[in-house]
Amino acid sequence: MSKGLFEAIRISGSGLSGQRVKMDVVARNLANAETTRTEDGTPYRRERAVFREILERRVQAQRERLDPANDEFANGPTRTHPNHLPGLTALQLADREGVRTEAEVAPDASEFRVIYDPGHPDADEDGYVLMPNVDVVTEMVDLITASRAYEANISAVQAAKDMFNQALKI
Amino acid sequence: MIRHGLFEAAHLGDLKQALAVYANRHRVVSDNIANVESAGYAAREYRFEEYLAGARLRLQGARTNPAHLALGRRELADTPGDVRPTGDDHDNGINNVDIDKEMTDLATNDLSYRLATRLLSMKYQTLRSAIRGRST
Amino acid sequence: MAVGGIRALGSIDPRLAYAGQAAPTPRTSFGEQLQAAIREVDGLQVARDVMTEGMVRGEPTEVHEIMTAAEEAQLAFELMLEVRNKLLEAYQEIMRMQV
Repeated sequence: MSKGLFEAIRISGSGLSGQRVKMDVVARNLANAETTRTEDGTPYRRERAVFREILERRVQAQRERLDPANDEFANGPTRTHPNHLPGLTALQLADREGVRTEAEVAPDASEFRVIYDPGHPDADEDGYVLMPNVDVVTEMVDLITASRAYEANISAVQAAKDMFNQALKI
Repeated sequence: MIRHGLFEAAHLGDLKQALAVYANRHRVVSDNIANVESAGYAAREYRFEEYLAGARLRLQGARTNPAHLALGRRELADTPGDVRPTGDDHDNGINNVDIDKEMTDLATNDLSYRLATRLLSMKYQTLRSAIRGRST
Repeated sequence: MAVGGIRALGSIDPRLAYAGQAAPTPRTSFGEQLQAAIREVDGLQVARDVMTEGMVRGEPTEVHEIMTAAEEAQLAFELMLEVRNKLLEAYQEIMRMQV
């Protein structure tokens, strides 16, 4: 269902979802900036939101969602004769939905910070403590970036809505 | 007589059905938004356009056997919409409602409804002009 | 001083005014022209209905295209209506004429 301004709104919507994921990640990182022990015994490892365009994933999801047994159009209209024209399958329709963006959460592989704090319960024999690889300043910058990008996407949606409403006044 | 001669001849059915679809979709989207924090809730969507197989084909296949599926264009009036779980893998921490997606769906649905009402009112306007015999 | 011939007024005759252009064949009757115009108005309405159906089906359609098509269909219809009213007025005027 790609329809001009509607498609623009949907793409902006995927951007909004992505920025929200990014804000969630920042919040989690900030909350765990001092967490030295997690379930598996290591310090908290920073997470990061990675954006990418989605096309195949949605089609894949659509493929799983459509159950050929229940959906008569999952495989397109039945052709009992080779001269019958082929219809579009629901999958092909989904395929044309256009490109959006999606944020994925991935662990940050950088090194843990090491501080000297012999009194810390998680300190090793030499008094060193492994701290999460979270830098609060970087997280704050990410938070502002995500917030501004979210606003930008909202503006894009608003602009598309205004254009639509203007067109209705023709 | 009036129903058939006046309203059905004017092709108002498509727009009326569109309004019903958009109203139903609004209800489903509102449900999702209301339940954004409900544990165990699964996001739903109102599907209609998806059932119009070959929606982009202008061709209409001839049906020589009732077992044939309507090929190409399917009549709008023959197509019921239904409510289904979206099956999205989005995770907002409680359920799979993606509030941004729901809000944009709400916006596009609102715009669709506006467009359909505008077109419908223009059609009624034309009918009124035809009846009075002068532009209103 | 040369006085322009009164023939110049001949250009008021619409057939002469359109002589240089691709005018419809001069032999079409007024009734035929009227029918052609009505068909054109109908064609605009059909075009609008096709676009409307496409929109309801979720086909890629631009709002402004639908809106301009709808507005043009309505304007064409109103023009036709107005022409009809003027013709009726003219007819009644002629009927009232004292011979």
